[in-house]
Amino acid sequence: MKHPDIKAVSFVGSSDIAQYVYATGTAHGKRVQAMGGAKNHGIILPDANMEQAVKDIVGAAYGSAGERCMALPVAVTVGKKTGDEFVERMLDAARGLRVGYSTDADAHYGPVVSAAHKAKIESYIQMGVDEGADLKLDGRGLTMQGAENGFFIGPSLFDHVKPGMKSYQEEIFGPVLQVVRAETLEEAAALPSNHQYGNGCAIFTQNGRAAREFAAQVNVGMVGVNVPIPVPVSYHTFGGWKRSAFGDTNQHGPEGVKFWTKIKTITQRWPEGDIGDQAFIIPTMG
Amino acid sequence: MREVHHFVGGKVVAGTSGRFGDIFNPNTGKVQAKVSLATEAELDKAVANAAAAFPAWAAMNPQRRARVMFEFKRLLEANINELAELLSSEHGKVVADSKGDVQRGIDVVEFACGIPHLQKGEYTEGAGPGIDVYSMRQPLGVVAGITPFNFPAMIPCWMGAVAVACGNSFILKPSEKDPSVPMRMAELLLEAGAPEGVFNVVHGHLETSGYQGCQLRRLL
Repeated sequence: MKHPDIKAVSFVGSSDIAQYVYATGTAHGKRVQAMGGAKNHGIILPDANMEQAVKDIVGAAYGSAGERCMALPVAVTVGKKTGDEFVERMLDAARGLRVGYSTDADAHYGPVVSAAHKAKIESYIQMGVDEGADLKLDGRGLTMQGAENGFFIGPSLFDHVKPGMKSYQEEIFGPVLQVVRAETLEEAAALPSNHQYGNGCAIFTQNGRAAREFAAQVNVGMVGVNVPIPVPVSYHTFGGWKRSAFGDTNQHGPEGVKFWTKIKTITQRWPEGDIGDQAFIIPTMG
Repeated sequence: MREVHHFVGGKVVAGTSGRFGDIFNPNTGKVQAKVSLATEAELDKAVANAAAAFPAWAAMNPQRRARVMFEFKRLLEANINELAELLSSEHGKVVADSKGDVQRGIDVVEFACGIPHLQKGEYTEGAGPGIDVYSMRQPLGVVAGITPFNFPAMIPCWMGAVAVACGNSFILKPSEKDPSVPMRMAELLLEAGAPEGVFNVVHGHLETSGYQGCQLRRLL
């Protein structure tokens, strides 16, 4: 617009703003990469190491109070037995979490960032209840003695969340884990693929073939196999798909170098003597 | 009350708008500091500053730019505890988690240390009779990054470390909720040897201005 001097804009934030930044920046001739929201799914197959999966997901769902674009706020269990066992164990794990001051070395996570964000998370919990999901653990109403105005919110867990629910379709960005029950791997794998966001996802299994197939087929940009938060190392590259990212290059790694540079290609000839041919046809260099 | 200002041309520059955003302590719910919100004119100045710094930085050979990144990495590592505590105090995540946030940023700086190799072009000898073809990767100029509150150390490094290592001048608009870590990183990058004006931090406020508000629009 008024700043022809700014050649490129990189953005990370929420999807609506990311889309606005992308559309506006590119309309003004700038290079733009704009990362948005996420709703990462963790799929738990019946043969998963359940103890490990619960340990991994409790950290990925509630760590940093869920305020990560690579948090894992949706667990998809395959089969009733897997679902029942997962929910039971996860409830124990979530109840055992210590919410504390950010300076508390023993706390698992601290307050959320603002009063407005706390209110938004709590309204999503109410939405889930109103939509008919089964609220097994309610983190609302947590107060810390001596810091009654701190932005604390306890861990929440919903069971029997359905894909049609608004609280499932949107990003909550808080310490809320939603469990969706599936009967088959196909049904489970379709959930992250069909979701509006496509940042990351994970699969927990001991079956290499199932994991390999899932990783190749799922419509999501970053995949973890028995890894709950598959944020790539710095020399690979970070980026989601669908409404999680606008633009065609990722953050850091070789893609980052590509985004922050422009390529120039020089074709040079140092002929001896006169140039013979006249260039009326496109040079083919044959 | 502590005030956080902009970082332009290698120094902290006091905001002149008279408009401030609140920086809360999420543990207590109380405002602990104020962050100055830039006017269009202030952003223009930052862009002009960055544009002036660009040619010399872009012309510096990539090995020397890499050495700045090596030193930046060393300084971040030396200050990781201080950075993590500062990050926790504004974001609210626990200190161990904040260290991870800074470490993930350091990892990208480490990657950017390889810029001489990463930015190399390609060459074809004899693409035609007496004809050679080569390519080069040139920096873009003044570029910008807009980062969220949730990873105030890692995400500015995703963008800033790679953009600066490539030879660009960078303007960061961090989240106004936790802007102190990016400000400290700007100081450390200057200390590491990046010329003044190569890495700038300008604060704005997306919520009150609406995302079609002036600060963001001007960046676009």
